[in-house]
Amino acid sequence: MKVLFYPGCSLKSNYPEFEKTSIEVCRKLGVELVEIPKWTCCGVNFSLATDSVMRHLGAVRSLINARKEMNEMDRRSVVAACSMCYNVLKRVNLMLKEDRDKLDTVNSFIDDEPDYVPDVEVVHLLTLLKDVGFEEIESKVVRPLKGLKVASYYGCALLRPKKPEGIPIDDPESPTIMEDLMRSIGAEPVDFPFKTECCGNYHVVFRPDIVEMRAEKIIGSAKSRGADVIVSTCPLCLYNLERGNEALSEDIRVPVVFFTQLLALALGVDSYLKDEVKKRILEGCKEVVAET
Amino acid sequence: MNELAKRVIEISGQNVYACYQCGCCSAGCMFTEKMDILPNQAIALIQRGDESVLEKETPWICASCFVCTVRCPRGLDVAAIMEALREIKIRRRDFVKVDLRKIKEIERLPQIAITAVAQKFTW
Ligand code: SF4
Ligand code: SF4
Repeated sequence: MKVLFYPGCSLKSNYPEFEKTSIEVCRKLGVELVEIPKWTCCGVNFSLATDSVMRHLGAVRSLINARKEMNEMDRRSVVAACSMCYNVLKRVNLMLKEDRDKLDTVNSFIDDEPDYVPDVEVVHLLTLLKDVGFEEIESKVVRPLKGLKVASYYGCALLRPKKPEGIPIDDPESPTIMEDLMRSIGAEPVDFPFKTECCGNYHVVFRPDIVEMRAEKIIGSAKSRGADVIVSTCPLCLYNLERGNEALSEDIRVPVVFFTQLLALALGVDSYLKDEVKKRILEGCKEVVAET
Repeated sequence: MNELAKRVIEISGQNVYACYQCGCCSAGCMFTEKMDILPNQAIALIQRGDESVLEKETPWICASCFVCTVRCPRGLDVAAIMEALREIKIRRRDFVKVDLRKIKEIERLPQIAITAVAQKFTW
């Protein structure tokens, strides 16, 4: 199956391991992620000012370019791995599906491209993997992560807001999609009450104290539930939680990795995990021989 | 209707008068300990047309996490109201909240953090 992929800025510039493991895990599952030609930055935060469309234009341009390739694909979808990209592309697309006036405004503004027709869907990689089937993934596992205690951290952008309908990829107050996925690769999900809380978002740039306040609570909660590792779907969440780790004493830190890196490890493709993190994860897999 | 409320409603699309001050938004907000007034208090000031709300830190501490939006029993998008308060200041251009040239560790920060801060704090 071929499907269009929106990598986004942070996967390209800061976290190539997230992009590589997304692509390689999907390939292992028979899904080819094809990068949208000429995609642009999504804008990161969906602009909440309803009287202006300016800040949505980056997302629309990417969707226009995606649409040009759609006929070559097996699904009319755009897949994003980064939660923030997912949220913005999803919301812009839903807005243009529902609001004819905004669609007209955007189309008359973008003069150098064909009009956008909102007949595509934006999906998150987790949803794509669920469509592939968690049993199917389980059947492809070569190294089950048995005994590894994984805390799934969702943050905000996969789950909120609730309206317009279709934004949350799962129950916004009590999601389980990532835990189900972790179970399919043999890991043991641990539930923790801070899994849908906010990491502090862009405040890390000028108010790192805010991010540290959030990250310490989130990591502390995962730790107290016995987590060996935290999985994330967002480059900014991961960065912020790692900032929190730096502020904590060594014995209460919990490493944070992209969920695709654990999938890669279980499916036998390169996980791009740092050596010391990989070692810690393999130590957490009580029943697995630590061979690499 | 007062001018401030009118402007907030225009920008956010949210009827601030629907808020009945239950405080659910502030109860769920994870950033209140860094704020100078609570999110529901900011809305009360808008309802009264009190422009002092524009000088508060609260809208700038709000991180657009949408917990308040999901939980408001009146269906208000509180995060959008916070954004409207930021937008009013930004559009007046009477105010510099951040200096993008002063970002520390710019190579280390994920690109989305920098883009987001520019999007939320500048014009
Ligand atoms: S939750 Fe809604 S109704 Fe209650 S105080 Fe906040 S904005 Fe007002
Ligand atoms: S969106 Fe802003 S005001 Fe609402 S809960 Fe989150 S940080 Fe608090």
